[in-house]
Amino acid sequence: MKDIIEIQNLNVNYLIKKNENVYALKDINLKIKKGETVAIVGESGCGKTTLANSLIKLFTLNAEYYGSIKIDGEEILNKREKELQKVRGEKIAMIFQEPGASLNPVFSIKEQIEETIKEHKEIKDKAILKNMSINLLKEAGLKDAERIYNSYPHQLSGGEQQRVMIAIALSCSPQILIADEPTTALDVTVQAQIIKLLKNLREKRKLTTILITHDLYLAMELAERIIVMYAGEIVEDNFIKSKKDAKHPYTRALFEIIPDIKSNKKVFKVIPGDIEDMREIKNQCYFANRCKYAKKICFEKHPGLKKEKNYFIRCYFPVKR
Amino acid sequence: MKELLVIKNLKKYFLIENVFSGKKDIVKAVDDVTFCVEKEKIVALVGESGSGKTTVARCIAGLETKDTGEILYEGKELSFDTKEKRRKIQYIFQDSMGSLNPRMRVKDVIEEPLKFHFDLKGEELKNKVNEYLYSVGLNENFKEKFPHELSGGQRQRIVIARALTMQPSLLIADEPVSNLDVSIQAQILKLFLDLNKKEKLTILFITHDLRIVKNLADYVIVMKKGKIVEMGEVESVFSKPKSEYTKVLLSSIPGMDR
Repeated sequence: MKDIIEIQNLNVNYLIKKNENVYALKDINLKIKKGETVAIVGESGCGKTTLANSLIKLFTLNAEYYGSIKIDGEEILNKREKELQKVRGEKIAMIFQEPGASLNPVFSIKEQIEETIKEHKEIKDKAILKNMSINLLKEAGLKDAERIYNSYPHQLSGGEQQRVMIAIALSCSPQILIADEPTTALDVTVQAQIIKLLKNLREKRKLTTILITHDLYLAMELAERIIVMYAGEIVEDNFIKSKKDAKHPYTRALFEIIPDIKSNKKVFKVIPGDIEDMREIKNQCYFANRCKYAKKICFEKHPGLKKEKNYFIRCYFPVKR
Repeated sequence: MKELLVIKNLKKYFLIENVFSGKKDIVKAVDDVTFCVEKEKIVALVGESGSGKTTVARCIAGLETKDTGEILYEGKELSFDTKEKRRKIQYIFQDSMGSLNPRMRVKDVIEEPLKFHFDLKGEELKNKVNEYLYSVGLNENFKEKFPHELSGGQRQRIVIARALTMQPSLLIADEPVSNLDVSIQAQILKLFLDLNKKEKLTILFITHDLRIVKNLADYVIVMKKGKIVEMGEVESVFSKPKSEYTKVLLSSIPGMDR
């Protein structure tokens, strides 16, 4: 299979004050095959959203970037804004955490969904537009598509709003769908429905899906390949089906802090300490201060991303099964 | 007496009036709810959004007036007519940024209730503030900070510290961790568990995440559309759910089939 996304040595810095940089991403190397489902997992501030945003160059003004991102063989980083509009939507579509904030409150769903189709496909016939919109809404699992089509965002529930966002994302038949924490603002039952919908869409449309989340169990529901990020770096890139497959101590720790539904003990495990201050990076493993397996070398030299049999890991002492 | 709080046939309806058409509609937010909260236990109130779990909690805290029914607190009808009674029930909201005054320093946030309720001054007040900061896992360095300088988890800790200054007997926590990251969630939940064990604090915990309930609560109450569909001890509800709705909720947990 061909690689649809190819990221080489991507570095992203944010300028926070005059002459003061803080890095958000460091030496990201990543290849994603066509049709693959990948989850990017990590705590807040680890750079997972920055990584997703950089795929469609949604950088904020104070960001500097180095390296290369190729989508379908085309370089993204040196494209101009106008050319990028073609990539956004037609190649890559994105859905965000808060559906309520992504929809414009003063326009009806009809206008918002048709706007995208008009912009990208240059269709003007009203009947065709309506037909397309209704079909998209139905595909996103909205049964009474007719009612939704004529409503305003505030008249819909959170789950319905997120489905509308998915319908809009699908409107330009993208090849890649990025879902940035699509369910954190939603209830458990609705969360399960949205994940099921994303699964169906992946099968039907052969979408390459990238899910961003902090919940490892949710990631495993949808994706086979899981990329774990810590302090702006990839620390593990592995096919994880259960806790035992995780090799990096940080991934293990992430598994452990999620309350275990099967245990009867009333305890909450925590990862001690805080994430490193990214402004004062030393030459050491960034996770070492919080890691229970850390030895002397972990504090002396920053580990590189090593390739093992079928996974990548950035650790001197990977956890054995 | 074992029960701290008894709720009998509580009802709260809201009248929704459409400004343009004048159409009126009744929303039965809480419809005949009966349950009790035992002392020194953690009770979880679970349900989807719109199930009425927050309205129940707001009625208990006096933020909403009930329509009919009884709320008995330590055997007596709940009222907030004295200073003493008002501080006994404390409420923690989901949005920590919204519940802290952006122009008050952490120090002032925690000092204010101590001054008002316990007339503390000078050195004594200072020590108390430090004590409460330590009890939620923070230290003196945070005293001069403003809410926007803190992370979400730290802010939620400040809110908890402020609630603790009142020496409450019942703490109502309304989705206190749903805005937080998993690792921060675990830290805050651990804090709640410690408060319950060490300080013998009774907690009414509102959430939609059943994974938390299993590891935190002693009792669970499942609500749907203003009614209680199931309640009981956590272990028995999780191992043998009786209602269909609880089964749906349980099957929606990510990683449940693993």
